[in-house]
Amino acid sequence: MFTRLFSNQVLVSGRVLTAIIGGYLLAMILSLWISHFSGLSERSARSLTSMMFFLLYTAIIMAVFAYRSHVKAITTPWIVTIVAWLAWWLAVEEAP
Amino acid sequence: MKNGFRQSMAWLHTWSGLSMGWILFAVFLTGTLSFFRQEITLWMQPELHGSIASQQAADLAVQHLQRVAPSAESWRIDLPNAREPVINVSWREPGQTQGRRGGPRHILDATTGEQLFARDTRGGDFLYRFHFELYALPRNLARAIVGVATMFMLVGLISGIVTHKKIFTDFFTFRSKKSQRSWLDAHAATAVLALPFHIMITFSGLLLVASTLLFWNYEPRGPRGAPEAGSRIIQQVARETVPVPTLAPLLAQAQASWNQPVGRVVIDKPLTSAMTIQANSLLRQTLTLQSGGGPGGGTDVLRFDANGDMLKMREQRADGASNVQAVSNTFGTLHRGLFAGPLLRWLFFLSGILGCLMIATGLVLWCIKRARNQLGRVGFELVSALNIAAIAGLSCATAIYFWANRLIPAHLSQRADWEINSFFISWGLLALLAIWQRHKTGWIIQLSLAAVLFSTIPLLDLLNSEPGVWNRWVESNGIVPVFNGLCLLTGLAFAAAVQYLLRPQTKSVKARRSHVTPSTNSQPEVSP
Amino acid sequence: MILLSLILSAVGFAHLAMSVKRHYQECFNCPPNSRQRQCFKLLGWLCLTLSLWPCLLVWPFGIGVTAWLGLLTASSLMIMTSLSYGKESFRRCWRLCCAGGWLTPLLVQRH
Repeated sequence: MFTRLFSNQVLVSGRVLTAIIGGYLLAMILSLWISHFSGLSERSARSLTSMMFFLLYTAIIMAVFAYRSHVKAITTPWIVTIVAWLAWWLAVEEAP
Repeated sequence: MKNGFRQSMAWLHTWSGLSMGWILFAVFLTGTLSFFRQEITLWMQPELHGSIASQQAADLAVQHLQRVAPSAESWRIDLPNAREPVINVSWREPGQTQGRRGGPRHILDATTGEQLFARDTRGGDFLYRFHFELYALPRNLARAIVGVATMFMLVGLISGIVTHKKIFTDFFTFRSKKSQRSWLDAHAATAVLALPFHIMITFSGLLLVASTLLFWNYEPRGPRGAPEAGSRIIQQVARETVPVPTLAPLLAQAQASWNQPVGRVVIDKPLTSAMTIQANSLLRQTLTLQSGGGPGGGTDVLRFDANGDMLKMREQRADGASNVQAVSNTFGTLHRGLFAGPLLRWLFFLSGILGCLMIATGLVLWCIKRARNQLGRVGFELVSALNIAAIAGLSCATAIYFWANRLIPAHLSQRADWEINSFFISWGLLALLAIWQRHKTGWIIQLSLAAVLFSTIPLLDLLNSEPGVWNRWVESNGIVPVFNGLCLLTGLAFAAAVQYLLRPQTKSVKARRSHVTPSTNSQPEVSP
Repeated sequence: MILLSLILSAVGFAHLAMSVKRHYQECFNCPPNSRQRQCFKLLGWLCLTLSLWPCLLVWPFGIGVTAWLGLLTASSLMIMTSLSYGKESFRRCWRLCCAGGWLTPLLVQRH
């Protein structure tokens, strides 16, 4: 349905934006989660976050372009990101 | 996207490579040259070419420092080595903060100890800084730009690996004389043969600029710690002049224990009885130690007291170095080649050149693939022009930077800035030329220019140096002759490229080309 | 030592190159049989792995591995260039220094 509403160019641009911006946010929250559970000292955790971030970001970008359906490619990362961020705020920021 | 995994990755590879390819070429080229930045800086200071390392270098330095800075808090002596045949001395006066970069520095001849005055030049450091901080842009913005480009590079690399179907079977494949096929093979070969290097350098590069890209992960650096001098009232207490012990035997001792030459000597509180002499090894031997700082910055360290007796060293603290930190440090050390002796440095340089060729062949391949269908279209013409400007133009600009170093008079004020201005002005002009002549003719013009400029650099050096230069070439470290030789080879390589472009076209190719009209059977660029 | 590593890895890459049908055919004008290809692959990987050892003798572990990878780049580049532009010298080196070349008569024996 969406593919008929929007032109191909718009959909591909949507993927690009999702990959770049959504991917950044998703990689950010996932690497924060990984460091959180790693139990390392603060300095090491930051290093781990950095390294994980770039690996995850690359993987997410590739995944966004691997989806066959434009709709799935654009919506899935955003949904996962929002869920992960909500979980982070609830679990980490709120909890004492 | 719609056409299956490999096709999607091919699309991603093309676009991530193309969009940042021109910046990436500049970053890769300047980075590769930076492996030899000390050598480049030396070549650009011909006044220093006569210096030859000797055993008495450390003691000569001490004599000089005794004369010019007898009341300094500490002296620092960088001994001559294979990459830099002069002695660099600097010192910290009482009251100055530690590590202030602006401390006075002198350069000494390594055999006679006399002070040398080299022309003002940024040398290889301009290229090094450009590599990650570009030029004239705010520091964080420039690093962020380079970081974003590097991210595109990483995506391009990984997607390229995934998309390359026959990566093992085609490992050695290079089908010459086949136009598009040959370019594809060249692109694949330069990528795959140095693949570990490319992945390492890209990922470690990202980690090095991570603080700008991942601003949420790093705390802003607080104001540098209050200068130690604040708490240390300048003690003009009567200083008994305790002579500095002869350094040569101490350094020999250090060298024997590390099996490596001494790189640097730091003398704390010189000429007093509380004097300590610290020797640092030239190269670091481990990859996992802290990248920056530390007492030796990761190198081996030995300390002596005023009588020349060895002091017990504190166990170099593990830094709470967890495995994660060790990995992170390893990447930083690998990227900058801090451990690299001559052979390793050349291997890194070779891999870096392959990387530059990888990017260049990729950009050119994009144009060649679409030349038939897209000639005349804005995107294609833009890419053609940018290709010439970024690849041939930048190469010429680099040669012009070296030329400017010799042509601009040595005593002109702000000549360092003028060398850099020549670089950018020439690059700008060549970019304009590339917009005007953006196809084969443009390539021929600019590559020929590069060929001429590079091949004549040895001649320039010969004409421009003081008499007796041949003897010095032979006696010296070999840095200057090797630099000249490498420039000559580069020039010849560009000349070979021009010859390739000028080769007579076979009849069938000519016939095919004359029947081509732009935009016939144009296929959509993006297949959804 | 370092030269030994370079030569070993070059020999290894030569074997791996010859295990690819197309390259063997271009060099020797006849296709390799499957026994040859298996043998070359084995010898190739063996030589590549062995070439790590001299590097570890000269340098500490981390730097040694880095040097090894750098030498692999250099030697694979050599082999690739000689396959495209110096087939004659490649053939000569193959017959002289590569075990694959020596074993070929055994491997192509018809039962």
